[in-house]
Amino acid sequence: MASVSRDLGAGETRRRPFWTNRRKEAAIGIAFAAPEFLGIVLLGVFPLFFSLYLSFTEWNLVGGLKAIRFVGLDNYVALFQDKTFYLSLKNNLVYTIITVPVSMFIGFVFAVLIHSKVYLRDYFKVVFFIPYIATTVAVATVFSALFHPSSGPVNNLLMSLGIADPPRWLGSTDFALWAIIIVAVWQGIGYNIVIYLAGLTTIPEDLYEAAEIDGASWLQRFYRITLPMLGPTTFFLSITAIVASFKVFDLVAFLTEGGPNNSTNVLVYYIFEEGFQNFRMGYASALSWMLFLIIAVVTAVTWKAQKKQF
Amino acid sequence: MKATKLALTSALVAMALAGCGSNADNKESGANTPNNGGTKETNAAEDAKDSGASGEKVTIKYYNWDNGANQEKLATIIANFEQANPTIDVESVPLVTTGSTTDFYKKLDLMAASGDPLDVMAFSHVDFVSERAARGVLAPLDELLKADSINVDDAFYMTPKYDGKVYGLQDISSPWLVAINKKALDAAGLPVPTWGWTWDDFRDYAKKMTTGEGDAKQYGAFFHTWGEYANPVAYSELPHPYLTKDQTPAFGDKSFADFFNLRRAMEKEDQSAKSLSDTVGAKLRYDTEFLNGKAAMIPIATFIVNKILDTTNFPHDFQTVFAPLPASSNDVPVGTSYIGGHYLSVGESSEHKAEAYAFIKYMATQTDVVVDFPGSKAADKNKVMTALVGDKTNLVDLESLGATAFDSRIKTVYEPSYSTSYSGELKTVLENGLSAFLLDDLTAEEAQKQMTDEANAIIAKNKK
Repeated sequence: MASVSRDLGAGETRRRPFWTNRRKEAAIGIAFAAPEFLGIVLLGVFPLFFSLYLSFTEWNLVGGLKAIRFVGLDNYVALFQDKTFYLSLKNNLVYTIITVPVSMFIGFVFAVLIHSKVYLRDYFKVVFFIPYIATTVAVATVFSALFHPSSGPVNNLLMSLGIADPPRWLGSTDFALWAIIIVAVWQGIGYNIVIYLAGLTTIPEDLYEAAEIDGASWLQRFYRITLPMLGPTTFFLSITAIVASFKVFDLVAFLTEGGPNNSTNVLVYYIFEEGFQNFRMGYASALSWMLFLIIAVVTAVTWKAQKKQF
Repeated sequence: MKATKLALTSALVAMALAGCGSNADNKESGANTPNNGGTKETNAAEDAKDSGASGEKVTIKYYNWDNGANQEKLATIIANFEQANPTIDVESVPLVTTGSTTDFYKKLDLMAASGDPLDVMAFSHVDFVSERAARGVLAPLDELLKADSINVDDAFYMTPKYDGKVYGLQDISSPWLVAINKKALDAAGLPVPTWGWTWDDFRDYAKKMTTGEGDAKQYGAFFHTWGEYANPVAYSELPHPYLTKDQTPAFGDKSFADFFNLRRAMEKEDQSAKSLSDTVGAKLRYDTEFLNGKAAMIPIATFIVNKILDTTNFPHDFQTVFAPLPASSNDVPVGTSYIGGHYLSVGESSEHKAEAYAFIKYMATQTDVVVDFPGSKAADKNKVMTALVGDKTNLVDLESLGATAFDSRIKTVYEPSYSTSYSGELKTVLENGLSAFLLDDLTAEEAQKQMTDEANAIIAKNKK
């Protein structure tokens, strides 16, 4: 609008060509942006709204698009009465509440240790990062063996420490989730270390020097400089970790398949079961939107809390 | 994927054309899209049909999960069939290389969803056939069978039916039985059990065949994680393991409480079977447990025979003898068993249904190449056993196998027509019920209540 009024304001009487420089530039710009924009619409926006639509329908996927039947809020009503949904949500919350802070805390401690003067710094960085890049299938296979209830190293260690009846891990409804949490923490530490290390290196040395000259102790420097300066890193890590923890799927799929007796079922795995094993796409879509709402709320809360702090 | 892609694209175009109109507009364009996708799909199908009809030969595709030796045997069967039917070409398409039926069904369902024409496909259980029949993926065979005057109930041990129509033919029959390690049986000084033995006798046998301690311990029996092992009685003696005639959960049946308690007693009191937590936690498998000599006997279907003969993957040197599946009591008629199997179905989307039917009929009735125990009742038992076992009688005892798997009294009370599109989910309910009972120390009544509640929720979800 602004350009048009300015053009008129110039009071020119001669007919201007349609392709002014400004329009040309805009057209070129649009041409460059169009493929990407189309891609986003096609692969991002459309599926998003399609799944929202699906969440109000009943569809078995196999019957083709003709088989979509509108059922209104039925899926959401059913969802609030679904015991497995609540169980998956509870398991997911336990998983999030434990894995996120624990792996961040351990990652932070290790990052500080590695950042301070240790030998073989790069070696440790790599060693801790390997679990993060290892394929989950391989990790799950190894841990299935480690957690073997009678002959696995974990239980053998526990038994030699004097625990007569160690947990049966993946074969127990009480401990299977904990086994998954342990693997998740082990896997996540490396990533946290690397990001924290990057955060640590960005803290200017002169801050520490100045503090040292002023006579601040090591502890004071740590609390007054290191921690606050790492605030944005912690913020970033916690948001991504929380979102990722709500999307946990591969570990559950490969270690326990949600069992025994749904004791390790989590939201995304439940969505997978409903959508691609029981072929209730409508219900699975409703679950997905529920998951989206939960993640949105949790992220917003974290965001607010962190903003206040730093 | 093609149909979905087409539909998605056309929906997008429709949305773009309609712009961001009112809600009503959106709804309308949404309603139109399936039609667009539909017509395009049918056009494509017709095109394919035309090109197919113009050629002399018709090619049908057979989707299966066979690998290794089975694929070679299949190739011979197909060659034989093509020789007898020169106008039909059969192409075997193994969808998985691992032999995993779970992955096979995932891929098959995806193909069905994308609208690819499916000619012939294999299934490993009646329920899987019913599920797809309910979704409209399979073609009913009644008319074709009528034209051949085949009465399926007389001709085959088991026939998948849904809504009163026949949706597949059984080419392999797998009656359940108990495989026993002859060495362990002899060591315990026990005779080979025969028809009429009960689960209590089974428990007794297991107790007597349990020997050793620690890693060297040989358990008397092994129960796998499948629903069949949670209560085999439900499979062999009830019309349907999960549902009653009026489609209510069958989990209140007394046999569930009895068998759950038997499982607990064998795990805890007798310690004659690996505990479920060990089996789940260590991901133990029935074949390795039995053939490595870790468990002296397992209830299993006849497909174990091919595994016993496969000494490359399962090296062992003991002979296996066979006993019928035990009964819940002495009152149960002799011969009552549970018959699993392998089924062949024709796809609703196939353009060559008659040719596909001809192929599955041939597969289900031929005995020139013996892959496994045939589903056809007319098959010659001695020919089949000799072809299967060959000279490896040091591993498989033919006499007890014949007396168990080929007894003329074998029958099943299983009623495939009770099966529904959600039978697979109900099996999970049963598996979860047993897990809860054994791992969470519930009483049988509590576990039965949990199962009935969960089953009712699933039934309600599917009845909408």
